[in-house]
Amino acid sequence: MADKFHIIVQGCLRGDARYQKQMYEALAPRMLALCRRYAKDSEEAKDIFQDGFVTLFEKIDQYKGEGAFEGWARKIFVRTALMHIRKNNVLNDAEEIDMADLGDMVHCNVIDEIQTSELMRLIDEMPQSLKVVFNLSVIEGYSHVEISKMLGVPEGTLRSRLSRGREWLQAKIKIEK
Amino acid sequence: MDSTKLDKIFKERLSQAECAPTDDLWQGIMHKMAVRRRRRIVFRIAGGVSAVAACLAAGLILFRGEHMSSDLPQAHSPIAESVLVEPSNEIVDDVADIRSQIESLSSVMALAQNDMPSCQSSGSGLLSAKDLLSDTPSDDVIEETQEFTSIQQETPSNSDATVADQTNNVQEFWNAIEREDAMLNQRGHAPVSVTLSTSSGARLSSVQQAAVAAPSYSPAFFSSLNAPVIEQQGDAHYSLPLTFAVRVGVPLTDQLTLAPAISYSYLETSFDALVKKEKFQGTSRQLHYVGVGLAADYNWLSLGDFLFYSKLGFNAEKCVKSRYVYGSAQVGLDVKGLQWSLLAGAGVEYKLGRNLGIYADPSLNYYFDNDQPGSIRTDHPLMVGLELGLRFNL
Repeated sequence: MADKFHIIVQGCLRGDARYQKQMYEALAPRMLALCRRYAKDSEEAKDIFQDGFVTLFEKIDQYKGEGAFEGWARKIFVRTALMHIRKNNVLNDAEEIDMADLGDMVHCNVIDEIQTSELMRLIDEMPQSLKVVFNLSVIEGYSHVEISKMLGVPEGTLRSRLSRGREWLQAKIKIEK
Repeated sequence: MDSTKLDKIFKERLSQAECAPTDDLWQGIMHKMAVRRRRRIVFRIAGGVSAVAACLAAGLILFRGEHMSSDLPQAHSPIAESVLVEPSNEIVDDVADIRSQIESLSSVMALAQNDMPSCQSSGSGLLSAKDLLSDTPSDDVIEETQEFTSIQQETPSNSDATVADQTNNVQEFWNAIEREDAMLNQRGHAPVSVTLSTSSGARLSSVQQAAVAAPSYSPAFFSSLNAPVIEQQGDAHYSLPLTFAVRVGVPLTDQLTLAPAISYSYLETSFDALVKKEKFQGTSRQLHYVGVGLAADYNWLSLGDFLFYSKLGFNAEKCVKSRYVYGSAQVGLDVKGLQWSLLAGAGVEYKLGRNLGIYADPSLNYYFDNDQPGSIRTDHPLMVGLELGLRFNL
């Protein structure tokens, strides 16, 4: 896999459209899922997805071959998503979240049985300010310090939002024993 | 529900989750890339045009004195007159001779008019003399007059021929003056033109520390005879030399880049000067250089958008404008030859895009003695410079 990406990256560095298409086909499904998790709707997800690939092709000369190429590509897409979110200025807004109005619940016997599509739906429905922090911290694995720098939000606020995000998800998942 | 287990489930399931992209997404990416490519091209062109325009604007601001002659005092100003070139004694004597000959010619003409009061000539002077006569002349007088006139026309005497030649010389002299006046009128009545007029003795050097410059206000045949001498008194004060440059980087290898450049430099020196025994404080010598150069850059460190490099190269610069400003007057001087220099230094470039960067080059420059006008470069051949510019990497 690493060799395959190495050849494709070399082709992309030359600006060869055939290799760019191969890069797209190799990364598109996972990067589109990533974009869906950050965007407020499918249209914004498409915008982030396209801009992410354009940025990736433009900045591919900055990839030094250190670490997995896909990990480097994910960072590009995450940054692109954050840029889109900043435009909507939702990160610093004090969002009023009504924990009582949870909408559709996810029913399961044990949490392991929850389908991936159900988890995606839950993330999709999550309030934007909580969703971004939850994605960056839990799924991407960034530290609080890193997220604080990326979003320009104090660490205390991040911890609070992360905690409320977890509460929101736990409230949405109803385990029926 | 345990939050750790919740986090684990979400991370495992969603980090590797996939969504099938629709066909139109790839077309959209290609379209966006094409749009950005066009924007980059426009940005580079705009950047290049802006850089050239900035250099031109700076040059025009510094060159503005070329068209400021109307602000200068008129010819009767004592200061302006001190700049004017006075004709040599030889020419003054010649003019005096011509004037005395004109006066003698006039007296000869008056005598002729008195002797030929009724002459029927087309000469306006003789007709006016005729008007003064009250009596009709006799036939004898008419015959004598006709005879005298025919003799004068057919066989002029030696003295008359000399007078005629001198009259022609005087006429040519005044015609020359009129031509000069006409030329000055076409130049906008410049009292002290800053148009350069090369003097054969015009030469500057840091050793000589005196300049001979000839303003072109006076008739052209005077200008080379007696040019004002601008003699430097005391120490010179140098303004910070300014250089604007545009470099084009042509990478030969990953680390070695060849960078030809076009540059514009402005040098100014202030000193007290003695001009025609009059002392002028704060006399300014302004030099404008346009040059080309070639440097080899060795890139030794790249940190993000910053690139650190060393460079070695040379420059050849031509002085396109040289001007002295003293009091309210200013004179120019043609400068021959090129200023050659070597440079070595280190620089840092910040990448504005993949092929465009802005750079700062602190460097050590050595200026050879190429018989250029005195400046900080001639007095201090080894100088530390800082060059700022835009680099287009091809």
